[in-house]
Amino acid sequence: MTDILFIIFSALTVLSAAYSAFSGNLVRSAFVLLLTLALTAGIYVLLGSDFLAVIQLLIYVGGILVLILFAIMLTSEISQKNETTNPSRKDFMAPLLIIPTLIFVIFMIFTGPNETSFPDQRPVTESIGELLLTDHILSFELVSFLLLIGLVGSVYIVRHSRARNHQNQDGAE
Amino acid sequence: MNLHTVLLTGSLIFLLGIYTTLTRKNLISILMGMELILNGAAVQFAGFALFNNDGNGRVMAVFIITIAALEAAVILALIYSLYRKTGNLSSDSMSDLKK
Repeated sequence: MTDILFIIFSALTVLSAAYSAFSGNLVRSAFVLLLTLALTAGIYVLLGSDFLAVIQLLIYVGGILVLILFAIMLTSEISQKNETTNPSRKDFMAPLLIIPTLIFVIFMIFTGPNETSFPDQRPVTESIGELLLTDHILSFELVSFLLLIGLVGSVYIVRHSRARNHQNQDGAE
Repeated sequence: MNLHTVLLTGSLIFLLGIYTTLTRKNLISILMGMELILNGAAVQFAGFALFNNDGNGRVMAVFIITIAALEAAVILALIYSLYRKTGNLSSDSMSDLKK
């Protein structure tokens, strides 16, 4: 049962990610990304990581994707086409990089060791919390500091550009 | 369900994200591609955590999700200031932010 569910979930995730990658419409691409991220939460559940599934839904679907949609609405890019880079120059470069990498990755995956038996699935929140505060305490502190720097930095970027725009307008007048 | 299926799913999401990031001109599309890249990596970490019966992979996935949220906040600040300055979101006009 888990096998069939996992195959359905992963196929749908990859298909929706592909639609989001190749779609020409920005809004449609963003809404399909919502589907991709929600289905990834399903994959986490099947992989026995209940905590990851919950924070995937809370942070990705509830936070990041709403921010992306908000940015699309705010910048009124809806009517514009989802432009790709200059076709004459770079259009063949991305497949040239992707296809050999894909072949290499598939080769590496299927020649590597395979694990089919996995232990019974238990709630993992406790073990994640314990590992965060014992083995990974330095990374935990560094990430929280990075989060602080990121928040201050993004506020600074926005306020700085706003102040500069005001200055330019004053200069023009 | 075995490790190969999980790794294949993760790598396909990852490569589709790289394709989006490389081919798009719009900054919001590039941000969506980066989210796909981080998601693919986190799926692989969770898969290894399950099949090796080792919680460290899940901790790494938590870190990845934190950094994805941070990255989205910073890129949206850049999008906002770029849009105020130039009125479009093309990655070609990113160098205008220096002026």
